[in-house]
Amino acid sequence: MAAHPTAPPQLLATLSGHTDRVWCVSWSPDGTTLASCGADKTIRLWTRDTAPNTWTCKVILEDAHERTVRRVAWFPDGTKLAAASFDGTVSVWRRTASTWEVGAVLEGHENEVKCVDVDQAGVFLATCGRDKTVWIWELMDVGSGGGDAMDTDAGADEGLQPLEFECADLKRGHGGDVKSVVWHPCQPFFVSTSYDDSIRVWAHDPARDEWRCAQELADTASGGSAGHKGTVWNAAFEPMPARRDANAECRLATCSDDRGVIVWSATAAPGATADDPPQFHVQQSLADVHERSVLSIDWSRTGVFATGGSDDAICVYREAGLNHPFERVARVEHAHEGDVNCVTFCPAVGEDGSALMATAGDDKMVRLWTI
Amino acid sequence: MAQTRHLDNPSPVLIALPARPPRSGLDSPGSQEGWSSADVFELLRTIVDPEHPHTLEELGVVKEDDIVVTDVSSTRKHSVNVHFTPTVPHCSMATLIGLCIRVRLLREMPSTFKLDVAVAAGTHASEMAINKQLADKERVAAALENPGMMEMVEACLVEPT
Repeated sequence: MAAHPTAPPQLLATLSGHTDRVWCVSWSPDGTTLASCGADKTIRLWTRDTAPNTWTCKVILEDAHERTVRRVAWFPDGTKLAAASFDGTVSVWRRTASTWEVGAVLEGHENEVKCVDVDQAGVFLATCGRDKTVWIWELMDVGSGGGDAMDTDAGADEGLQPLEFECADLKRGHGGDVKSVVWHPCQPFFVSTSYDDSIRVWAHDPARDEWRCAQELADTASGGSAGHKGTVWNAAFEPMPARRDANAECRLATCSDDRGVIVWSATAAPGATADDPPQFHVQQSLADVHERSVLSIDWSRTGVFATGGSDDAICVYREAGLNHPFERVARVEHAHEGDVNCVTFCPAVGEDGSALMATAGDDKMVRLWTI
Repeated sequence: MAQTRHLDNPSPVLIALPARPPRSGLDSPGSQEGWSSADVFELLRTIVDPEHPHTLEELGVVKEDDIVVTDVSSTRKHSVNVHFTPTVPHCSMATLIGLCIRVRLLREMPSTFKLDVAVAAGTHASEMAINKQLADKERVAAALENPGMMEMVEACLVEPT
């Protein structure tokens, strides 16, 4: 366990380059590259320089979207990136020998796409948007290669086949914009968070080969279940150790316009099959952790989780010990000169047990911190 | 094709405007730092109603008393809170008016200011829904990228000649 439970995050670097609000930052699975995207419609890829704490934007991916790029997500092999845009499309970028190119454009949402996330196998994409829907896309096998030339420009330069995605399912149910979708780190289910103040758990039903809503986490005053009382902006699962028992406790943290965070915990219901997701219940509510909306949350492998909000602050939370509640152990005021739209932890943990965190702000900046 | 459009409020009540000195802008002596509710009102009062050829001031939609400004450099607290009053409780233009107010503030005020724009309590049948939309930064950002929406907003933000 870390020796300095209350040490505040230390600012390592400020990455400037975006010409408008930065909405999202996402680490490559090996932790060597940070992708950022925003209102300037670009995706920037930052890599560490040889000089200490110096990061350089080596690649700018642009001209794929006509409006804001709201979110970007890596595939687990680190060679593909998915980007969700307010122009209603999702682009999937692929690294080639010399550059990056668009391998597929997913069209289907009626208007703004607000989030995309890739499952741990790199096969399924979940997307969501203002049209209140959640889509599940499946990457079709592209291993055969060399077949008939496809009638498309994508991949022409490198002689690559375009990536082929099929819509595996389209789910309605939310009563408002769906703000984010987040896959479980190793099981075949994901959650969606919404403007309707609720969170839904979506699981694969292999018998019918479709996706179903397995649970709705909402604030039902009459039912005694306490949920969020405002738009749920984001969610993060607790990272799972590699050989964790599938029946072990699974935890999820969510953040909201209600300025609070809820930690949900779940265990497999008795008699549940391996395909059934666990049932979540409130483990702990942390009220008023920010002074305005809590826009983003992420959970580190070091055990802490962090939030960013429209009060320009970032907060860090930690359990005092096993079976102790989470406490807010640090708060950085003015972490950005504007709303903090995204916080995300690098999957690679430092040799000293420290976590590396990236944040994205309305001030057009990306910042890196150690905790 | 000619169409008859039904106005939500066909005959709005106009407020007699006080006699005003010519606009001195915001750089009058003593105000180079520190925004007041009067400064913010000056920015908003000339916005034109989407439905009527009158300003939000004339219609009583924005009032200086319903603007709260916090501007404290030492604590870095900078915020503007505007409550506006639709002319009728079922006004379908309320969200658009709120968006116009927000756009004017976004363009004219330093980006360090937190902006809250909402309909005044009890003045609209869909108060909660409208205020939730106006407070959602993602929806506002998307609206500002929508050419059709921005055309309507710009029409309201034309400076009167």
